[in-house]
Amino acid sequence: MHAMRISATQLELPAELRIQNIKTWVEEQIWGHRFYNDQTPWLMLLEFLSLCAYQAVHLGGNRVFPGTVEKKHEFISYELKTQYPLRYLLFRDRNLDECEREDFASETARLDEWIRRAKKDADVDYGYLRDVFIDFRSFASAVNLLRSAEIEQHRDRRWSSRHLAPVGPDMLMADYKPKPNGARPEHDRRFFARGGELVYLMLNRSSRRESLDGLICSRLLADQDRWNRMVNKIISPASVRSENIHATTGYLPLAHHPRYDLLAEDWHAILSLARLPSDHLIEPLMRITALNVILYIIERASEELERNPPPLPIDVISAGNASIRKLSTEHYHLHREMSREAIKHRVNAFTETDEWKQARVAVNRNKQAMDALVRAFRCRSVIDLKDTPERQVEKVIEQAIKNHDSHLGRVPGFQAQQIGLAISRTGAGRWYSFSDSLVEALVLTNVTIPMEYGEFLQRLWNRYRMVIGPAVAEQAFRELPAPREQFKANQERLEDRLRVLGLLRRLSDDCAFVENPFVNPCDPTRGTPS
Amino acid sequence: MTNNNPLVDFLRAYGPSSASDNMYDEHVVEAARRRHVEPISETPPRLKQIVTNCDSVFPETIILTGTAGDGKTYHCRKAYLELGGLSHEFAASGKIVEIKLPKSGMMLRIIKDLSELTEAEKEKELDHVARVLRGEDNDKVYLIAANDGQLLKFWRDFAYKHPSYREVEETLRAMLKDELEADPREQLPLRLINLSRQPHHELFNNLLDRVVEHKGWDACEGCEVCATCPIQINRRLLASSEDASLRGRLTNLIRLSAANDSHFPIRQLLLLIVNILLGDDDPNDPLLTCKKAAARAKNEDYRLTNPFQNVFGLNLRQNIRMQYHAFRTLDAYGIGCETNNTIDDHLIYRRPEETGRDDPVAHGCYGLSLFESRRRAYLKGENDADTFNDFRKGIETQRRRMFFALPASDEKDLDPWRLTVFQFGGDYLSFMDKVVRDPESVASLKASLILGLNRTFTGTLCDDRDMLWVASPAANGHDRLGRVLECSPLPIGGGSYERNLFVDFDNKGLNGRPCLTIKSKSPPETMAAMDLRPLLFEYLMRVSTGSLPSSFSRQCYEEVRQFRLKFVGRFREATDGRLGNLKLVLLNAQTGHLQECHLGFKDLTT
Repeated sequence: MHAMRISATQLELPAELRIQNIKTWVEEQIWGHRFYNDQTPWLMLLEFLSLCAYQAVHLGGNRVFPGTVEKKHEFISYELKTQYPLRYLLFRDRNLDECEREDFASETARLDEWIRRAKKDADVDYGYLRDVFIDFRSFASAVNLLRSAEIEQHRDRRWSSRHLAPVGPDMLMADYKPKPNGARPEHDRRFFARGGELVYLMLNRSSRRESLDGLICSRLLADQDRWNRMVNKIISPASVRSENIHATTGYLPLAHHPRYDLLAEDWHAILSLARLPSDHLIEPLMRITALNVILYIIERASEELERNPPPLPIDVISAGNASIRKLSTEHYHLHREMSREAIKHRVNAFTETDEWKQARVAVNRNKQAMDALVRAFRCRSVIDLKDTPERQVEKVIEQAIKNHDSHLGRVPGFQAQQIGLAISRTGAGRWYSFSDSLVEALVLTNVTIPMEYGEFLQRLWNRYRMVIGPAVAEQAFRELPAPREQFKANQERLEDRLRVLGLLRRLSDDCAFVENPFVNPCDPTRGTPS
Repeated sequence: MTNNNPLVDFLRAYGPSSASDNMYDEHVVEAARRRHVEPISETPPRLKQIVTNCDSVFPETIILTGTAGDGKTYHCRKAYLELGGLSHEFAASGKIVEIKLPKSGMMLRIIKDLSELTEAEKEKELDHVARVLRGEDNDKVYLIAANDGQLLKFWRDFAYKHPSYREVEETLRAMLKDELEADPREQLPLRLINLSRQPHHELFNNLLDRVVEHKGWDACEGCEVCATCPIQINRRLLASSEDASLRGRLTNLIRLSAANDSHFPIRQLLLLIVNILLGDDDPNDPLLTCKKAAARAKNEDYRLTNPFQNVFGLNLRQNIRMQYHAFRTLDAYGIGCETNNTIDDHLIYRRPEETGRDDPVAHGCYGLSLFESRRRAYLKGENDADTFNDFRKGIETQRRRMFFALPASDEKDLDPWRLTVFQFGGDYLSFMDKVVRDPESVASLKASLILGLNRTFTGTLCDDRDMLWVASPAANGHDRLGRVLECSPLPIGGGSYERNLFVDFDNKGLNGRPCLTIKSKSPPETMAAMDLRPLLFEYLMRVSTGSLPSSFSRQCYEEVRQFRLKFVGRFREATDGRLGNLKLVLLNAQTGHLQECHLGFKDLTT
């Protein structure tokens, strides 16, 4: 593992960023403001792309990232489009189905009726659609097609928080809380909770930033994409109500971190797959981004505690592999515990400082202590002048942990489950595992030229701290924490799964290659003429 | 007076035994010598190529790879002998032997088995090999027998320590991965010969002949049980070379397995042959001796020497049987368990009377007579657990015999492949043979494959066989219903159609496997290809006859999905933004056919 050289100093908060409704500012100093458990990996990606889309327009020149200035935290003010007419059409409208079913004198009448009803329901004049589609049927097909491209359809979200899988900039929509009676919609930060902004800042600070600019623009923000063009035809730019929501970016404490670069390399790898159609890029990107965020959270906690980050043992078999499962469960909980300890540690570390030591023994020590704590952790609303300094510290920790347990503390586990990195079973607990989609995403990201299977496993350890087989287990743990045969069986099972997914080829007893089918543009044919 | 034929004792050495077979080749040679029997010897398929290379003016280094049991060391020994070496010298020389090559004057250094070398020895030798490959030593050339995996692993570590040799490692890796015999950049004087990639069904036939026609059988003359000896009966059965015979069907199974990447090394072929011949259902000793055979003949205990059971290693205990690659592979076909009503009717009710011509001898001792008492018991209604169990085992045994006895039939229900999990196995073999030589004759198979693909792509039960509809789900990708049409439907064959893109079947897959491709006429290019392994062929055929795409095989579903993605990726790259509007594909409920559906935009400018 490469040594971690982290700049110990945090960046100062940008002056323009106003903190409201925060009871303690502890976890934010470690991880940032903020990652939030209601934001699924998909929504994190969408928030990120929305910010990119805005920047692409405003920075110009095929750029998405502004770059950094030494020691200065970025502050970006941006806008998101609510896209109300599109949102209504896709996620609120009921009249389309009804009009399809009812009898009408002519197709023109059918379309006219729908337009009339829509005006009544949505207060939007869709009359321009008469010039876009040849008949009602075409219009209905187009809308149904778009509806089928919705992400996370199984979640029953409010209509203002449903989104399409984005293939172009005009398919991106703001996420907001609708207000009744035409009042201005509110960016309630519930789903676009800043996770995407932090990912954006990470990539902006990575060493690969410049290579990502062009790739993101050409592959994810292509307005000439067919889907994007279709959406454009459906929403008329002129005179239709679509307000903008304003937002500003959050806080990411460290100016540099190895994980930023690893994330950027992964993005670069996926976006460079010329043979993978663009609309198939976003799903692996969603998974790999969340994976890197999870690792960031674990790594920051470890750095705070000055320990080596515990590995992620992956139970591939999930039946009859008891020791590995147990090991994986233990580490899952360990990671969760570590972030809580990191918070305690951060507050307790403050009590080692001279500032605190002097405050503690001062004459008006309660007030001195309180001032010191408030300066460090903005925790005014939590402590009382009547509390002793020790009690004050306790209260700060209690509040920070309480907050953490409901939000950031849950993020790694939640995101892990969403991307297929973790499984939860009632009665059996939670542990790290692999879904097929995650396995595929890992291969797409990490394999260019065919890679020997052992090398692939080594790479998963080097980049993501994943432990699957015995060779890596020996590197990760001083002694094997589970029987070697179980690790071996674990490794063989993953090999089987890779093979079934078409990602692995066995040449002989000893030799298996992991292959990425979407690489190698020079050789579209498989097999050789004999 | 029963004879005691030393050939039988010798053949046992090839059979399943618990003896470790590290230097198998030498062990067998030694056994042959001890019993004064000529060893089974077959000209190794690549020997000529190796000897010609070594005999030339500029010989190249040769690396022989392949799975255990494919004769790597055997090739080395034979090559050594052909080049003038002496057998006892080869045997006595330890891990490495050298011989001077007359024509070139170079020294050929043969490493008999790379895995036998210590780490230090490997390091020294391969360092030298690297120098030879880079032209730094023109006096030596190598012949190495190695396992691909080890070779690669070793060289990777080696190249890590000696960065100047990284090129050698990369070339080797590319050659192994793409199964190339020579360096594609034509820089290294190296040949990589993978012995596991030879068509072994021919070899199987030759090996069978060697065993069945061995001179040693002459020693059976005069033995009093010669006419009824189970060994002789089995030998006669193996000699038959009709299509509906042990030899014929086994050859088919071996070909099918090879096409499915499940290769039979030579050692396993010999093991199989010997087990069929001498197999005996005796827990103490799974193979016959002359003495035991005589006893079996006298007691008419033919049910213990049934070659149709021996093919599947059923004379061995389960855990032992499953250690052998040959039996594991053949077991996977499910012969004995798969069946249909027509065939079972024949076996149980003898309906119709004469189905399939049977060798009267086989019929006599291994045929329905073995089964008769259990059949009657079943028909009488005796159905307690034990009787039924006996009946079930009995009928499975008969089904196994039927697989080898039923001739290929136009009547699908009596096709022997119905007795296996590869219902379309016979079709696959004829497809493989004729797809390029006589494409018209397999037109209906091609049409079924296209239908299978259409159903998988669109997720509908359509009936379109003449064009390929490449349909994808909407952006999210996990829907099984393919709604977006990527391009106009593709015709089969370049033919007289005006379309630039078309579907073509060729045999450019691995080992000459058939391959389904999408090609473009101009510029001429293969945009995407899908190797038609038997499993995939079976999948598509089953889907075309009504199976659901997601139920038969997950692996095949993924392969088809990847094929579509690869084509779509290449297609979009090639058309580079000149794509028109989105098009949909719908199933017309009345006609059962797919149709294109343009999203009717008024503005035709794209």
